[in-house]
Amino acid sequence: MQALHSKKIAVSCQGITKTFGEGANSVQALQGIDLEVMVGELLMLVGPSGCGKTTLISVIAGILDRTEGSCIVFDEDMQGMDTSRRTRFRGENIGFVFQAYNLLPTLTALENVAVPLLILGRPRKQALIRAREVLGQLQFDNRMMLSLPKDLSGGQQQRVALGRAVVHKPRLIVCDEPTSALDHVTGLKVMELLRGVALQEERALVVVTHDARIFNFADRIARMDDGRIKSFEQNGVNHDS
Amino acid sequence: MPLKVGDVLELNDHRAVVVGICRSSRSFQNQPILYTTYTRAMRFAPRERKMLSFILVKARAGQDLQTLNRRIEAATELRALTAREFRMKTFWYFMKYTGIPINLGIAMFMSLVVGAAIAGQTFYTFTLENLRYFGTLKAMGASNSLLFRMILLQAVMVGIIGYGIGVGGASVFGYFASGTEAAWRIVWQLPLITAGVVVLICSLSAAICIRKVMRLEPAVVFRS
Repeated sequence: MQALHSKKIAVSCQGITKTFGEGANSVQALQGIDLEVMVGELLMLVGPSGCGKTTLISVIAGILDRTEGSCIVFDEDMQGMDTSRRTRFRGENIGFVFQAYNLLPTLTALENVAVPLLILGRPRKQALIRAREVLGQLQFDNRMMLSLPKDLSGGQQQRVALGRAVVHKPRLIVCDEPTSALDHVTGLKVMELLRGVALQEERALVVVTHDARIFNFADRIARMDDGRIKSFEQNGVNHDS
Repeated sequence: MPLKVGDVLELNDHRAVVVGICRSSRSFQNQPILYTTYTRAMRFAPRERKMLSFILVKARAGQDLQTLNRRIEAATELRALTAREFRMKTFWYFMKYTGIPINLGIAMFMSLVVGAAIAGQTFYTFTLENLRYFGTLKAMGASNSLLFRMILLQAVMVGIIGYGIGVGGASVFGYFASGTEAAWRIVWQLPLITAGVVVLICSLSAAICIRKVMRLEPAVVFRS
Protein backbone atom coordinates (compact mmCIF):
# COMPACT_ATOMS: atom_id res chain seq x y z
CA MET A 1 0.00 0.00 0.00
CA GLN A 2 1.40 3.34 -1.00
CA ALA A 3 1.89 5.63 1.98
CA LEU A 4 -0.16 8.82 1.75
CA HIS A 5 1.28 10.53 4.80
CA SER A 6 2.05 14.17 4.87
CA LYS A 7 3.84 15.71 7.80
CA LYS A 8 0.82 17.57 9.22
CA ILE A 9 -0.63 16.15 12.42
CA ALA A 10 -4.38 15.66 12.44
CA VAL A 11 -4.79 14.08 15.87
CA SER A 12 -2.39 14.12 18.77
CA CYS A 13 -3.24 12.17 21.92
CA GLN A 14 -0.98 12.17 24.98
CA GLY A 15 -1.51 10.07 28.09
CA ILE A 16 -5.24 9.60 27.59
CA THR A 17 -7.07 7.69 30.28
CA LYS A 18 -10.77 7.04 30.55
CA THR A 19 -12.45 5.62 33.62
CA PHE A 20 -16.11 4.61 33.70
CA GLY A 21 -17.86 4.56 37.06
CA GLU A 22 -16.48 5.37 40.48
CA GLY A 23 -14.87 3.60 43.41
CA ALA A 24 -14.68 -0.19 43.51
CA ASN A 25 -16.94 -0.55 40.48
CA SER A 26 -14.89 1.72 38.23
CA VAL A 27 -13.47 0.39 34.97
CA GLN A 28 -10.43 1.92 33.33
CA ALA A 29 -11.13 1.59 29.60
CA LEU A 30 -8.08 3.59 28.45
CA GLN A 31 -4.81 3.46 30.37
CA GLY A 32 -2.46 6.07 28.96
CA ILE A 33 -2.82 6.27 25.20
CA ASP A 34 -0.21 8.13 23.17
CA LEU A 35 -1.16 8.39 19.52
CA GLU A 36 -0.68 10.62 16.51
CA VAL A 37 -2.62 10.48 13.29
CA MET A 38 -1.23 12.34 10.30
CA VAL A 39 -3.19 14.17 7.62
CA GLY A 40 -3.65 11.83 4.65
CA GLU A 41 -3.23 8.75 6.80
CA LEU A 42 -5.60 5.82 7.30
CA LEU A 43 -4.94 4.48 10.78
CA MET A 44 -6.60 1.29 11.93
CA LEU A 45 -7.22 0.55 15.59
CA VAL A 46 -7.38 -3.18 16.04
CA GLY A 47 -7.66 -5.50 19.01
CA PRO A 48 -9.99 -7.82 20.88
CA SER A 49 -13.46 -6.80 22.02
CA GLY A 50 -13.41 -4.59 25.10
CA CYS A 51 -9.82 -3.42 24.57
CA GLY A 52 -10.89 0.25 24.35
CA LYS A 53 -10.91 0.87 20.58
CA THR A 54 -14.38 2.35 20.48
CA THR A 55 -13.78 4.38 23.63
CA LEU A 56 -10.64 5.82 22.03
CA ILE A 57 -12.37 6.93 18.80
CA SER A 58 -15.22 8.35 20.89
CA VAL A 59 -12.69 10.48 22.78
CA ILE A 60 -10.90 11.47 19.55
CA ALA A 61 -14.22 12.41 17.92
CA GLY A 62 -15.19 14.55 20.91
CA ILE A 63 -18.31 12.61 21.81
CA LEU A 64 -16.87 11.26 25.06
CA ASP A 65 -14.80 13.13 27.66
CA ARG A 66 -11.47 11.66 28.65
CA THR A 67 -10.52 11.39 32.32
CA GLU A 68 -6.89 12.48 31.92
CA GLY A 69 -4.40 13.42 29.22
CA SER A 70 -4.76 15.62 26.18
CA CYS A 71 -6.30 15.10 22.78
CA ILE A 72 -5.72 17.76 20.13
CA VAL A 73 -7.65 17.46 16.88
CA PHE A 74 -6.50 19.89 14.19
CA ASP A 75 -4.96 22.15 16.84
CA GLU A 76 -8.11 22.25 18.95
CA ASP A 77 -8.89 20.57 22.26
CA MET A 78 -12.61 19.80 22.04
CA GLN A 79 -12.91 19.03 25.75
CA GLY A 80 -11.97 22.62 26.52
CA MET A 81 -14.75 24.03 24.34
CA ASP A 82 -18.24 24.91 25.51
CA THR A 83 -20.97 22.55 24.36
CA SER A 84 -22.24 24.59 21.42
CA ARG A 85 -18.76 25.32 20.03
CA ARG A 86 -17.76 21.70 20.46
CA THR A 87 -20.92 20.50 18.68
CA ARG A 88 -20.25 22.94 15.85
CA PHE A 89 -16.58 21.90 15.60
CA ARG A 90 -17.61 18.24 15.45
CA GLY A 91 -20.22 18.99 12.80
CA GLU A 92 -17.76 20.83 10.59
CA ASN A 93 -14.64 18.73 11.05
CA ILE A 94 -15.58 15.14 11.80
CA GLY A 95 -17.40 12.53 9.76
CA PHE A 96 -18.75 9.29 11.17
CA VAL A 97 -19.25 5.81 9.71
CA PHE A 98 -21.02 3.34 11.96
CA GLN A 99 -21.13 -0.44 12.09
CA ALA A 100 -24.94 -0.45 11.83
CA TYR A 101 -24.96 2.42 9.29
CA ASN A 102 -27.41 4.46 11.44
CA LEU A 103 -29.15 5.87 8.38
CA LEU A 104 -32.38 7.68 9.17
CA PRO A 105 -34.98 5.16 8.01
CA THR A 106 -37.60 7.62 6.79
CA LEU A 107 -35.19 9.61 4.60
CA THR A 108 -34.01 8.60 1.14
CA ALA A 109 -30.36 7.84 0.50
CA LEU A 110 -29.98 11.32 -0.99
CA GLU A 111 -31.59 13.02 2.01
CA ASN A 112 -29.50 10.96 4.43
CA VAL A 113 -26.32 12.13 2.76
CA ALA A 114 -27.54 15.73 2.89
CA VAL A 115 -28.15 15.60 6.67
CA PRO A 116 -24.71 16.87 7.84
CA LEU A 117 -25.03 19.88 5.51
CA LEU A 118 -28.53 20.62 6.78
CA ILE A 119 -27.25 20.40 10.37
CA LEU A 120 -24.63 22.98 9.43
CA GLY A 121 -27.38 25.24 8.15
CA ARG A 122 -26.82 24.89 4.40
CA PRO A 123 -29.91 25.51 2.25
CA ARG A 124 -31.78 22.30 1.45
CA LYS A 125 -31.44 22.67 -2.32
CA GLN A 126 -27.69 23.25 -2.11
CA ALA A 127 -27.31 20.33 0.30
CA LEU A 128 -29.17 17.97 -2.02
CA ILE A 129 -27.07 19.03 -5.03
CA ARG A 130 -23.88 18.29 -3.10
CA ALA A 131 -25.32 14.99 -1.78
CA ARG A 132 -26.15 13.96 -5.35
CA GLU A 133 -22.59 14.74 -6.42
CA VAL A 134 -21.13 12.61 -3.62
CA LEU A 135 -23.48 9.69 -4.22
CA GLY A 136 -22.54 9.88 -7.89
CA GLN A 137 -18.90 9.36 -6.89
CA LEU A 138 -20.05 6.34 -4.90
CA GLN A 139 -21.65 4.87 -8.05
CA PHE A 140 -25.28 5.48 -7.09
CA ASP A 141 -27.80 5.93 -9.89
CA ASN A 142 -30.87 8.15 -9.56
CA ARG A 143 -33.19 5.31 -8.55
CA MET A 144 -30.88 4.22 -5.73
CA MET A 145 -30.47 7.81 -4.56
CA LEU A 146 -34.23 8.07 -4.09
CA SER A 147 -34.54 4.73 -2.30
CA LEU A 148 -35.15 4.35 1.40
CA PRO A 149 -32.40 2.59 3.37
CA LYS A 150 -34.59 -0.49 3.89
CA ASP A 151 -34.66 -0.97 0.11
CA LEU A 152 -30.86 -0.96 -0.19
CA SER A 153 -28.41 -3.80 0.42
CA GLY A 154 -25.95 -3.67 3.31
CA GLY A 155 -23.13 -2.60 1.03
CA GLN A 156 -25.24 0.14 -0.55
CA GLN A 157 -26.30 1.37 2.89
CA GLN A 158 -22.68 1.54 4.01
CA ARG A 159 -21.88 3.51 0.85
CA VAL A 160 -24.63 5.96 1.78
CA ALA A 161 -23.14 6.17 5.27
CA LEU A 162 -19.77 6.83 3.68
CA GLY A 163 -21.29 9.58 1.53
CA ARG A 164 -22.82 11.10 4.65
CA ALA A 165 -19.43 11.02 6.36
CA VAL A 166 -17.65 12.93 3.58
CA VAL A 167 -20.37 15.20 2.14
CA HIS A 168 -19.45 18.20 4.31
CA LYS A 169 -15.73 17.74 3.65
CA PRO A 170 -14.66 16.98 7.24
CA ARG A 171 -10.95 16.83 8.06
CA LEU A 172 -11.21 13.68 10.18
CA ILE A 173 -13.36 10.60 9.60
CA VAL A 174 -13.87 7.99 12.29
CA CYS A 175 -15.27 4.60 11.35
CA ASP A 176 -16.47 1.95 13.76
CA GLU A 177 -16.31 -1.56 12.32
CA PRO A 178 -17.37 -0.36 8.85
CA THR A 179 -17.20 -3.82 7.26
CA SER A 180 -18.28 -6.14 10.06
CA ALA A 181 -21.88 -6.33 8.82
CA LEU A 182 -20.81 -6.94 5.22
CA ASP A 183 -19.65 -9.99 3.29
CA HIS A 184 -16.02 -10.17 2.20
CA VAL A 185 -16.39 -8.84 -1.37
CA THR A 186 -18.73 -6.02 -0.35
CA GLY A 187 -16.46 -5.17 2.58
CA LEU A 188 -13.47 -4.83 0.26
CA LYS A 189 -15.45 -2.63 -2.13
CA VAL A 190 -16.53 -0.37 0.72
CA MET A 191 -12.95 -0.10 1.94
CA GLU A 192 -11.73 0.75 -1.58
CA LEU A 193 -14.34 3.50 -1.79
CA LEU A 194 -13.59 4.64 1.75
CA ARG A 195 -9.92 4.96 0.98
CA GLY A 196 -10.49 6.46 -2.45
CA VAL A 197 -13.16 8.99 -1.55
CA ALA A 198 -12.27 9.75 2.03
CA LEU A 199 -8.58 10.35 1.54
CA GLN A 200 -9.08 12.53 -1.54
CA GLU A 201 -9.12 15.83 0.24
CA GLU A 202 -6.31 15.85 2.76
CA ARG A 203 -8.06 14.27 5.62
CA ALA A 204 -7.24 11.67 8.22
CA LEU A 205 -9.10 8.44 8.79
CA VAL A 206 -9.29 6.40 11.96
CA VAL A 207 -10.91 3.01 11.47
CA VAL A 208 -11.76 0.66 14.31
CA THR A 209 -11.93 -2.92 13.13
CA HIS A 210 -11.21 -6.50 14.01
CA ASP A 211 -11.70 -7.58 10.38
CA ALA A 212 -8.24 -8.84 9.39
CA ARG A 213 -9.28 -9.01 5.72
CA ILE A 214 -9.12 -5.23 5.42
CA PHE A 215 -5.88 -4.59 7.32
CA ASN A 216 -3.97 -4.07 4.05
CA PHE A 217 -6.01 -0.89 3.40
CA ALA A 218 -4.33 0.78 6.40
CA ASP A 219 -1.27 2.98 6.24
CA ARG A 220 -0.65 2.15 9.86
CA ILE A 221 -2.18 -0.24 12.35
CA ALA A 222 -2.33 0.38 16.10
CA ARG A 223 -2.85 -2.85 18.03
CA MET A 224 -4.67 -2.33 21.29
CA ASP A 225 -5.19 -4.55 24.29
CA ASP A 226 -6.46 -3.86 27.77
CA GLY A 227 -6.81 -0.10 27.24
CA ARG A 228 -3.30 0.35 25.86
CA ILE A 229 -1.68 0.51 22.43
CA LYS A 230 0.66 -2.47 22.38
CA SER A 231 2.29 -1.88 19.00
CA PHE A 232 2.18 0.02 15.72
CA GLU A 233 2.65 -1.60 12.33
CA GLN A 234 3.59 0.53 9.37
CA ASN A 235 3.77 -0.92 5.88
CA GLY A 236 4.24 -4.35 7.33
CA VAL A 237 6.90 -3.26 9.84
CA ASN A 238 6.08 -3.92 13.50
CA HIS A 239 7.11 -1.33 16.12
CA ASP A 240 6.43 -2.11 19.78
CA SER A 241 4.77 0.75 21.61
CA MET B 1 -94.88 0.37 22.13
CA PRO B 2 -93.98 3.98 21.34
CA LEU B 3 -96.85 6.41 21.03
CA LYS B 4 -98.00 7.66 17.65
CA VAL B 5 -100.32 10.38 16.45
CA GLY B 6 -103.96 9.44 17.02
CA ASP B 7 -103.34 7.24 20.07
CA VAL B 8 -105.78 7.74 22.92
CA LEU B 9 -104.47 7.78 26.49
CA GLU B 10 -105.91 7.95 29.94
CA LEU B 11 -104.28 10.64 32.02
CA ASN B 12 -105.47 10.86 35.62
CA ASP B 13 -108.93 9.60 34.63
CA HIS B 14 -109.11 11.98 31.69
CA ARG B 15 -109.09 11.10 27.99
CA ALA B 16 -106.14 12.48 26.02
CA VAL B 17 -105.42 12.19 22.29
CA VAL B 18 -101.89 12.36 20.86
CA VAL B 19 -101.88 15.00 18.12
CA GLY B 20 -98.17 15.30 17.57
CA ILE B 21 -94.83 13.82 18.57
CA CYS B 22 -92.17 16.23 19.74
CA ARG B 23 -88.77 15.49 18.26
CA SER B 24 -86.16 15.96 21.01
CA SER B 25 -82.91 14.48 22.23
CA ARG B 26 -82.84 11.87 24.95
CA SER B 27 -82.64 13.51 28.37
CA PHE B 28 -80.97 12.35 31.56
CA GLN B 29 -84.36 11.78 33.17
CA ASN B 30 -86.82 9.03 32.40
CA GLN B 31 -90.17 10.79 32.95
CA PRO B 32 -92.17 11.37 29.79
CA ILE B 33 -92.94 15.00 28.93
CA LEU B 34 -96.39 15.95 27.65
CA TYR B 35 -97.00 19.33 26.03
CA THR B 36 -100.51 20.74 26.10
CA THR B 37 -102.30 24.00 26.75
CA TYR B 38 -102.33 25.37 30.27
CA THR B 39 -106.10 24.85 30.60
CA ARG B 40 -105.89 21.17 29.61
CA ALA B 41 -102.84 20.65 31.77
CA MET B 42 -104.81 21.92 34.76
CA ARG B 43 -107.50 19.34 33.92
CA PHE B 44 -105.09 16.41 33.56
CA ALA B 45 -103.06 17.38 36.64
CA PRO B 46 -105.22 19.44 38.93
CA ARG B 47 -103.54 22.08 41.00
CA GLU B 48 -101.79 20.46 43.93
CA ARG B 49 -99.14 21.66 46.23
CA LYS B 50 -95.75 21.71 44.42
CA MET B 51 -97.01 19.70 41.47
CA LEU B 52 -96.53 22.47 38.95
CA SER B 53 -93.00 22.46 37.48
CA PHE B 54 -93.12 25.31 35.03
CA ILE B 55 -95.35 27.19 32.65
CA LEU B 56 -94.04 28.19 29.25
CA VAL B 57 -94.90 31.75 28.36
CA LYS B 58 -94.52 33.21 24.90
CA ALA B 59 -93.92 36.94 25.00
CA ARG B 60 -95.38 39.25 22.39
CA ALA B 61 -92.91 40.62 19.87
CA GLY B 62 -91.09 43.66 21.26
CA GLN B 63 -92.04 42.91 24.84
CA ASP B 64 -89.37 43.75 27.40
CA LEU B 65 -88.71 40.39 29.05
CA GLN B 66 -87.58 41.71 32.42
CA THR B 67 -90.70 43.88 32.71
CA LEU B 68 -92.84 40.89 31.77
CA ASN B 69 -91.08 38.75 34.38
CA ARG B 70 -91.76 41.35 37.06
CA ARG B 71 -95.43 41.52 36.07
CA ILE B 72 -95.80 37.71 36.17
CA GLU B 73 -94.06 37.53 39.52
CA ALA B 74 -96.29 40.27 40.96
CA ALA B 75 -99.46 38.62 39.64
CA THR B 76 -98.71 34.97 40.46
CA GLU B 77 -96.10 35.17 43.22
CA LEU B 78 -94.21 32.58 41.16
CA ARG B 79 -90.66 33.01 39.93
CA ALA B 80 -90.47 34.12 36.26
CA LEU B 81 -87.33 33.59 34.20
CA THR B 82 -86.24 34.38 30.67
CA ALA B 83 -85.20 31.44 28.45
CA ARG B 84 -81.54 32.13 29.13
CA GLU B 85 -82.04 32.43 32.89
CA PHE B 86 -84.06 29.22 32.87
CA ARG B 87 -81.33 27.43 30.89
CA MET B 88 -78.65 28.49 33.36
CA LYS B 89 -80.83 27.60 36.35
CA THR B 90 -81.41 24.13 34.87
CA PHE B 91 -77.68 23.77 34.16
CA TRP B 92 -76.76 24.68 37.71
CA TYR B 93 -79.50 22.44 39.09
CA PHE B 94 -77.88 19.46 37.35
CA MET B 95 -74.42 20.58 38.43
CA LYS B 96 -75.38 21.01 42.09
CA TYR B 97 -78.04 18.43 42.82
CA THR B 98 -77.40 15.43 40.55
CA GLY B 99 -74.57 12.92 40.12
CA ILE B 100 -74.32 13.65 36.41
CA PRO B 101 -71.39 16.12 36.54
CA ILE B 102 -69.45 13.84 38.89
CA ASN B 103 -70.00 10.79 36.70
CA LEU B 104 -69.24 12.64 33.49
CA GLY B 105 -66.36 14.45 35.17
CA ILE B 106 -64.80 11.19 36.34
CA ALA B 107 -65.22 9.74 32.83
CA MET B 108 -63.60 12.83 31.32
CA PHE B 109 -60.79 12.85 33.86
CA MET B 110 -60.11 9.15 33.29
CA SER B 111 -60.12 9.73 29.52
CA LEU B 112 -57.65 12.56 30.02
CA VAL B 113 -55.36 10.43 32.20
CA VAL B 114 -55.55 7.44 29.85
CA GLY B 115 -55.04 9.68 26.80
CA ALA B 116 -52.06 11.41 28.40
CA ALA B 117 -50.59 8.07 29.49
CA ILE B 118 -50.98 6.55 26.02
CA ALA B 119 -49.62 9.65 24.27
CA GLY B 120 -46.72 9.92 26.74
CA GLN B 121 -45.93 6.21 26.52
CA THR B 122 -46.08 6.28 22.71
CA PHE B 123 -43.79 9.29 22.54
CA TYR B 124 -41.40 7.78 25.08
CA THR B 125 -41.28 4.47 23.18
CA PHE B 126 -40.64 6.43 20.00
CA THR B 127 -37.74 8.16 21.76
CA LEU B 128 -36.23 4.93 23.05
CA GLU B 129 -36.56 3.24 19.66
CA ASN B 130 -34.86 6.17 17.96
CA LEU B 131 -32.18 6.97 20.55
CA ARG B 132 -29.40 5.81 18.27
CA TYR B 133 -30.63 8.16 15.53
CA PHE B 134 -30.80 11.05 17.97
CA GLY B 135 -27.30 10.04 19.10
CA THR B 136 -26.16 9.93 15.48
CA LEU B 137 -27.51 13.42 14.84
CA LYS B 138 -25.85 14.67 18.03
CA ALA B 139 -22.53 13.10 17.05
CA MET B 140 -22.79 14.67 13.59
CA GLY B 141 -23.14 18.12 15.13
CA ALA B 142 -26.86 18.60 15.76
CA SER B 143 -27.26 20.95 18.70
CA ASN B 144 -29.68 20.36 21.55
CA SER B 145 -31.76 23.30 20.34
CA LEU B 146 -32.08 21.74 16.86
CA LEU B 147 -33.21 18.41 18.36
CA PHE B 148 -35.55 20.32 20.70
CA ARG B 149 -37.16 22.00 17.70
CA MET B 150 -37.40 18.69 15.83
CA ILE B 151 -39.19 16.99 18.72
CA LEU B 152 -41.43 20.00 19.24
CA LEU B 153 -42.37 19.95 15.55
CA GLN B 154 -43.20 16.26 15.82
CA ALA B 155 -45.36 16.91 18.90
CA VAL B 156 -47.17 19.74 17.11
CA MET B 157 -47.78 17.57 14.03
CA VAL B 158 -49.03 14.66 16.16
CA GLY B 159 -51.26 17.08 18.10
CA ILE B 160 -52.73 18.61 14.95
CA ILE B 161 -53.38 15.19 13.38
CA GLY B 162 -54.87 13.81 16.62
CA TYR B 163 -56.99 16.92 17.17
CA GLY B 164 -58.18 16.83 13.56
CA ILE B 165 -59.13 13.16 13.79
CA GLY B 166 -60.80 13.59 17.22
CA VAL B 167 -62.74 16.80 16.68
CA GLY B 168 -63.39 16.01 13.02
CA GLY B 169 -64.70 12.53 13.88
CA ALA B 170 -66.88 13.93 16.66
CA SER B 171 -68.26 16.59 14.32
CA VAL B 172 -69.08 14.06 11.62
CA PHE B 173 -70.72 11.81 14.22
CA GLY B 174 -72.67 14.79 15.59
CA TYR B 175 -73.79 15.74 12.09
CA PHE B 176 -75.18 12.29 11.36
CA ALA B 177 -76.71 12.01 14.84
CA SER B 178 -78.60 15.30 14.49
CA GLY B 179 -82.34 14.74 14.19
CA THR B 180 -82.10 11.50 16.15
CA GLU B 181 -82.65 11.03 19.84
CA ALA B 182 -78.88 10.62 20.24
CA ALA B 183 -78.37 14.19 19.01
CA TRP B 184 -76.00 16.42 20.88
CA ARG B 185 -74.51 19.82 20.45
CA ILE B 186 -70.90 20.93 20.16
CA VAL B 187 -70.77 24.31 21.83
CA TRP B 188 -68.01 26.63 20.63
CA GLN B 189 -66.11 26.30 23.89
CA LEU B 190 -65.67 22.55 23.44
CA PRO B 191 -63.15 22.56 20.54
CA LEU B 192 -61.18 25.27 22.35
CA ILE B 193 -61.04 23.31 25.60
CA THR B 194 -60.16 20.16 23.66
CA ALA B 195 -57.37 22.05 21.87
CA GLY B 196 -56.04 23.17 25.25
CA VAL B 197 -56.09 19.60 26.56
CA VAL B 198 -54.35 18.31 23.41
CA VAL B 199 -51.66 21.00 23.77
CA LEU B 200 -51.20 19.99 27.42
CA ILE B 201 -50.89 16.28 26.62
CA CYS B 202 -48.52 16.88 23.68
CA SER B 203 -46.40 19.26 25.77
CA LEU B 204 -46.06 16.73 28.59
CA SER B 205 -45.21 13.94 26.15
CA ALA B 206 -42.71 16.10 24.27
CA ALA B 207 -41.14 17.20 27.57
CA ILE B 208 -40.45 13.57 28.53
CA CYS B 209 -38.88 12.96 25.12
CA ILE B 210 -36.87 16.20 25.15
CA ARG B 211 -35.51 15.47 28.63
CA LYS B 212 -34.27 12.06 27.50
CA VAL B 213 -32.68 13.38 24.30
CA MET B 214 -31.04 16.39 25.96
CA ARG B 215 -29.32 14.06 28.43
CA LEU B 216 -28.28 11.60 25.73
CA GLU B 217 -24.52 11.13 25.35
CA PRO B 218 -23.65 11.10 21.64
CA ALA B 219 -21.18 8.30 22.39
CA VAL B 220 -24.21 5.99 22.50
CA VAL B 221 -23.88 5.71 18.70
CA PHE B 222 -20.86 3.46 19.02
CA ARG B 223 -22.54 1.07 21.45
CA SER B 224 -24.02 -1.89 19.63
